[in-house]
Amino acid sequence: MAVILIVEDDVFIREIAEMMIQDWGHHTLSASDVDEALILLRSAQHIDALFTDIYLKHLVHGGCDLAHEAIALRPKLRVLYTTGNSITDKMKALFTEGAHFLRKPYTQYQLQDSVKGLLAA
Amino acid sequence: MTYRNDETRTPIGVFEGTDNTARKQAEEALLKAGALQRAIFNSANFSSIATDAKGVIQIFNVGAERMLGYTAAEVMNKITPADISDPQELIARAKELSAELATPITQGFEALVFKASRGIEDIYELTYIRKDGSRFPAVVSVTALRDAQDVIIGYLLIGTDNTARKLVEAEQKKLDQRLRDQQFYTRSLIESNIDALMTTDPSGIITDVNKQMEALTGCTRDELIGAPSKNYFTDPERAEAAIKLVLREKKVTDYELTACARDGKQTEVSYNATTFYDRDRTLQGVLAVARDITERKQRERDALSLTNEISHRIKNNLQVIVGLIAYEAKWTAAPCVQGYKAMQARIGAIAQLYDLISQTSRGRTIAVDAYLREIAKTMAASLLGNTSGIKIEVKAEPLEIDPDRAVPFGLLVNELATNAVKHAFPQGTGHIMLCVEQVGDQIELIVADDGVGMKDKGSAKVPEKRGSDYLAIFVRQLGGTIVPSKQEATGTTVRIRLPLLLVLPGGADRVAA
Repeated sequence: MAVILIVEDDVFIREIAEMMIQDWGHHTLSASDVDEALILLRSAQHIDALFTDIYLKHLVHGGCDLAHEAIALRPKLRVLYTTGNSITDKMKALFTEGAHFLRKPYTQYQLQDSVKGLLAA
Repeated sequence: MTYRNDETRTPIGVFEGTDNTARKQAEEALLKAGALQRAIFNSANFSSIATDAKGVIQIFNVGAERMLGYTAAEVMNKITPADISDPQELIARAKELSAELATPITQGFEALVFKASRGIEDIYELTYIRKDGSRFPAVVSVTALRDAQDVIIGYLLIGTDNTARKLVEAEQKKLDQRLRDQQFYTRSLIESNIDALMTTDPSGIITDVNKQMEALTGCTRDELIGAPSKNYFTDPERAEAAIKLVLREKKVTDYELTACARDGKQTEVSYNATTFYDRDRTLQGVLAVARDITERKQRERDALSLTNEISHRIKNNLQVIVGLIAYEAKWTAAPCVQGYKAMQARIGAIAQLYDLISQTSRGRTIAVDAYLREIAKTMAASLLGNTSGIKIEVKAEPLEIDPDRAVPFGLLVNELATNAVKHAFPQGTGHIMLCVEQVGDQIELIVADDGVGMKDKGSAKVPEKRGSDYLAIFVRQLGGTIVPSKQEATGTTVRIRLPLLLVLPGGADRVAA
């Protein structure tokens, strides 16, 4: 089972996502913004994957910036982005290499498929 | 040798035979014959006035008589040329010469001949006064006449009437002024333009600019003229392409470029340009107008970021709803989970439709063909995946629909196609065709599959009760009707007709609707 760090500024969405992921037996860590996430990423805590919202507390591309810092800290980390906004080519160019993407709103089944795909990659 | 005028016997000139060249000999031969002398003095177009050393007129030729209105007899031995000249001019000339030659010169005849008396060739303009008091401008050449001992014995004043030339000069001056006025007017039109203007030759080299262009580039007119215009934009290749486009199409409008000033300041501009020609229709170059659209672009960015912000909030709210349903589903008995799942799928469809609507929006309308293709693409990605044997194809005419009906239209397509995916292909392979075309004044939507069909009503391929209820609601919402289709051996075809655009692009309501 994997350890997944969920970064989402909306408490309800974050907790439901944690619940969905825990239901499949994974362990979750959570952060509401970039700084909280970086504290966890800089710690000794084992983390397999980062599941982050792109628009984080007024930072339009906060999740993209976070993922780059996260990969710099942990090059093997897998990244799954989510956002409700349309994904433009400009935004795709900001993604880390090999990252996955899940559009909001996502169902528990879509999230499960995405996480499965992410961990299998 | 001394020659005398035949009529007056007054000595008028001294010619020394010291030079034995052929030319001199020829001149002397002519003079001997008196032919040259007569020709000069009888010329009606030149006034020839010869005076003695004191200035008293001794010879007054035909030309002088004609120009000045006096007969020779009226002036000879009576007056000096100063008496038939403008006295004010003589005063001014005396003053000027006194200053120039640093010696006091009197205002009378001396002022006319002083230079000549010093051996200086003198040609000047003066105003002669005729006998009747009228005046005319003349150009006068003055020569001193000397005897064998080089003593001045008189002066020869040869004059031409300068009236015609003066008139031409005055006319020319007027024309020059008019040309300057015209140039000033044209220039002020160019300069008073609120936009930056420049002209280039066909190769893109700047030939003229206005002040606004100097401000935009932070360069002076002299620096700009002769330089390639593409150098003043952040993307020189795109700027060069604009010039090529103008030369090809004769004009470009609203071509967006970013101007870059010397200090690095960037200004977003809308580039509008046309070719221009001379009178013979020969291409001269390109006239380009660069309008500062910084504010407009900022407004567009603001609008986009507001749209993004709203979209972010809407999608988060929908995510909360989908999450709530997920939470409920978790504690619900297995047979009921399917309903929750369907509910989540429909919410997901609405969210996706909003994205597609914004992508295919054409102002006040939605392009149905592009919208349908996007729906097909999204459904294929979410329902089928890359390895599925079921393919969704689209055949669509370029039609438009009003935004109000775009969501029910999308949900209708989604419901029908989802049914087909779920029920038509137990073997997992087949085609679904989504089609829109105009039939009369209606849009016909056809969702057809080549699956197992609905002959066997007992089987699971019959759509769920709720699904068909929703279908009926969406069709009513669209103001449409379901067209009965005959049962076929294989496959299912659903035809729905709905009115064309209810609101025309101009904003007026459609009359037929």
